[in-house]
Amino acid sequence: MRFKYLYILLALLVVACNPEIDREKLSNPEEINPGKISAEHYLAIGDEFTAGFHDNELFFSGQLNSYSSILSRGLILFGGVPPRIAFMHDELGFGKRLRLDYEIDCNGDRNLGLVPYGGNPSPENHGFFGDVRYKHFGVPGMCVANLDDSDYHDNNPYWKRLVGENFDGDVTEAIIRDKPSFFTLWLGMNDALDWAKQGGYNLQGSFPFPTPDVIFQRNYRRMLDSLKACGASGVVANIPRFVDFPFFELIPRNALVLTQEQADQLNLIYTANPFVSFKRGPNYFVVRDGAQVRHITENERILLSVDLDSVKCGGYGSVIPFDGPDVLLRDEISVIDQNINSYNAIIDSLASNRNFPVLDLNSWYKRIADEGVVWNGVATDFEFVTGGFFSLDGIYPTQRGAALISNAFSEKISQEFGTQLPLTDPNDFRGVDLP
Amino acid sequence: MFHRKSFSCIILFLFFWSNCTFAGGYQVNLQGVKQTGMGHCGVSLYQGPSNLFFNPGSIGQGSEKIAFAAGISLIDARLIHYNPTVNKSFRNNRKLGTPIGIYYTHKINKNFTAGLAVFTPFGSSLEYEEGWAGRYVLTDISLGTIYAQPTIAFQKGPVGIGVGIMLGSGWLNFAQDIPITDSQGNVANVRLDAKANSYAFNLGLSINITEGLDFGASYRTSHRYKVTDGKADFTVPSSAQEQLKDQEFSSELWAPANAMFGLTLTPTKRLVISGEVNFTFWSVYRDLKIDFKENSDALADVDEPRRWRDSETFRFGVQYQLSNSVVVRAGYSKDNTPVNRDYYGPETPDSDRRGYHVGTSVKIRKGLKLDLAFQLAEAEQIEARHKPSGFSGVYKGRAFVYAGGLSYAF
Repeated sequence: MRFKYLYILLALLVVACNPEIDREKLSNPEEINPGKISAEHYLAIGDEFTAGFHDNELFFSGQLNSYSSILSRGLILFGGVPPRIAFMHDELGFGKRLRLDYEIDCNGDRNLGLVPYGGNPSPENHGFFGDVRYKHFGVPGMCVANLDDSDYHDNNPYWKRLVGENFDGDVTEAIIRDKPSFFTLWLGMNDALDWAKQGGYNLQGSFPFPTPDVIFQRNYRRMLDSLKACGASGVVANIPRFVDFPFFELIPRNALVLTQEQADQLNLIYTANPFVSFKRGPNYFVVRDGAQVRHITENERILLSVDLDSVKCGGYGSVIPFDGPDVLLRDEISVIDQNINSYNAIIDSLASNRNFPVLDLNSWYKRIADEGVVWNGVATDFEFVTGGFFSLDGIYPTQRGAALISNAFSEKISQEFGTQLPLTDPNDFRGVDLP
Repeated sequence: MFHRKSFSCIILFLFFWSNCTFAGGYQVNLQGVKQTGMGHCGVSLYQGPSNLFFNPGSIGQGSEKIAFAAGISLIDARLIHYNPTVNKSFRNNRKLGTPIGIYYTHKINKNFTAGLAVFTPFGSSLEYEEGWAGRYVLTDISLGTIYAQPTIAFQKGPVGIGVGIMLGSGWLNFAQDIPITDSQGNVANVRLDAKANSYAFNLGLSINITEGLDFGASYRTSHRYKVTDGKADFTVPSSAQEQLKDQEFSSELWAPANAMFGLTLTPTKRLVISGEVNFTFWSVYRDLKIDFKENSDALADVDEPRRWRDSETFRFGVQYQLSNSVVVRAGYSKDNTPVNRDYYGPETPDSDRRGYHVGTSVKIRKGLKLDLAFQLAEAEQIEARHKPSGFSGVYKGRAFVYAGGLSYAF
C-alpha cells in the first residue's frame, strides 16, 4: 500500500503538463494564411543559383536545399506540391565539386586550398530525368538569351537531362508547358556572368556575350507574358553586382610582396616601361591591358581561377603580366556594370508593367556585403569560407546562404501577397565545411 | 508509519545535489521545506533551524537546546521557447534540480545561539533540446553554488539579532555550438568551465512587537565570484584550432544582495499568517564578460549587456495546526523578474512568476518531524530578444517542486 502513493507521485511527475505558448497573447499572432497566391503549382525558373549549384557543382544535397526548394517546402502549407527536381544521384554530380583541404604549394608550404572533392560520380547523373509534369526549372548555365533556343539540349547537358532531346519547342515553351499557378523567376545573371568568369576575354567573336539588351528584353518579355497568360502570380528577382563576390574580389590586387632585392630585379626587367615600377613591400600586380603592360588598380579584379602556383613561383603577375582570362580590367568591369544596370532596368519595367513584384536582390546582396546578417547568434557575411554565405566557388551561395535567399523571397511574398509564410532557420543548413 | 528503508533513501539524496533554474534570475529560494509550503515566508516566522538562512536573527526563538533540519527539493522545471519567425517551438530537456538545505542550531546559553547551515541559494541548470534555434547562443548551462554559514545570534527579550558568514563555492559550466562544421558536417562547440569562491554576510533582526505579532528583517550582502582560471574547451575542425585554441579565461559573476522584511500574525494558537516582501538587488548584473587569454580573428572577448533591474517578491502564507501531530500550510508568492527584455539571454529564461504552495509537517515521534511541501510555479509568457545575437522569441515556464525533509529537536 505504501508504494501506491509513491507511484501516484511518480505518475504526477511524469504526466503533469508542460507549459504551452498562448498564441493569442503574442504581439504578432501569426496565422497561417495563403493570402492572394494559389500555391499548388509552384514553378521555380532560374539558372544554377536556382538549381542549388554550389562548390562548383550541382549535387543532391545542394538541389535539395536550393533557395527555390526550401521555398517550395514552405508552400506545402498552402497546398503546394513541390516541383519535381531532376536530382543528381549522389553528392558528386558531374564530378567538378570542390572541397577545402590542405595542399602543398610550389614553395613546399602547406596551405588551405581548394581541391577536387574526389570520388566517382554515378554515370546515372547524365541520364534523362524523364517526362514528368511540374518540373523544377533551375537550369545551370541558362541565360535569358537561351530562352528562345530550340536546340538548347545540344548546348547544355543540364537542360538535356531535364527535357531530353525530343522536346518539340524552345526553352520558354518547355518551361511554361505545365502552367504554373505561382512562380519565382531569377534569371539573367549568366547573361553577363559567363563572360565575366572568363575574364571578359576573347568571347566577343562568335558568342554575343554579354547578351545584348534587345535580346534580353525580347526574351524576358516573352517569358513574363507567357506566365501572365497562364494566370500565374509570382515574384521576379533582379541581378546582384557579382563582381563583388569572392571569386572576383578575394585575391588582393597588391598581394605582390617583395624584398628590395626582388623589387630591384623586377625594375630591371621593366626599365623600358614607364608605367611599371616596384618597391619593397606590397606591390600591385602587373597586367596586360591590350598592347600596354601596367599595374592593376584597386578597382580591377584578379579572378579566383588564376593558377596560384604560377603566381607564387612562376613570376605570373610580376615577371609575366596577368593575361586577359585571369583579370577583369576597368573597361570590362564597366561593361559588366552597364549590362547589370540595363538588365535590372528591363526586369523592373517589364515586371511592374505586368504587376509582378520585383525582389531587389541586388540591394539585398549589397546589404549582406556591407553589414552581414546575424541570425540566432550566427553572423553571415561576404567573407570567403568564414562568412558562411558563399560556397567554395566564390560565386554561388552555400545551403545556409540559399536559406537566407529563400527567406528574402518569403518576406517579399508575404509583403506583396499577404501570405503568412514562416521563414526558415538558415542555421539548420550547411555552410562551408572545414578540414 | 515511516519505513526505515525510505529513510536511508532520503539521506542518500542529500548528497546527490545539484542545482536548478528556479525563482527570479538564478537565485533558488528553496532553502526550507516548511517555508516552501507557505510561499517561502520565513523572515518573520521562526520555523526551526532553517531560519539560519531566512533570518539568522530569529534562531534564538526556539526552546530546544539542539535543533537539526535537513531538506531537499526536487524541481521539475519545464520551459518552452517559441520562435515566431520560423514558427517552431523548442523545450528544455527535463532534469531534476535538487537544491538542499542542512541546518543545525545549538543554544549556548539564555542569550546566545550558534548555528551552522549548508545551502545552495544560487543555481541554474538548463539544457535545451538538441537542434534548438538558439544553439549558437547556448546549448546548456549549469551554474551552482554551495554555502556553509556559521552563525551566531543574540536574543534578549523580544529582540533577536544574528549574523552569519556565508562561505561560498560556485561553479559554472556553459556550452554553445559554433557555426563551423568539419568535413563530416559535425558542428563545432565550446564548453566553458569555471570554479570560484566567495563570501558574504547574512544579517538578521527579529522583534516580537506584541503578543501575536512578529517583525523580521534580514539582509544578505552582494558578493562577486571572480574566475581567473576558467577553462575553455573548443571542439573544432583541425584547421580552426589555430584560431580557436583551448585556453584559460577570466570572468566574474555577481550574487545580488537581498533585503527581506516580513510580518507574522498569530491570531490564535493554531493559526499563523505571514507576509513579506523581498528585494533582490539584481542591478549588479549589468554585463556578461568573458576575457579569453588568447584572442584571435575568430575569438573575441565576450562583453554582452544584460542590464538587469532590482526586483521584488511578495509572499504570503498561512499555517494551521490541525492536530497535535499535524500542521498544514499554504501560500502564494509573486516573484517579479529582474531580466531585461532587450538583453534576454537564453541562459536565464526568466519572467514574472506566481507560486502556489502547500505543505505539511507530521510528527513522527517526540522531537522528530517529517516536512513535506509542494509548489507549482507559473512563469508568465514573455516576448524578449537578445540583441547581441539577434536571437529573439517567446518563453514560458512552469515548475513543479516536491520538497521533503526532516527536522529534529531535543
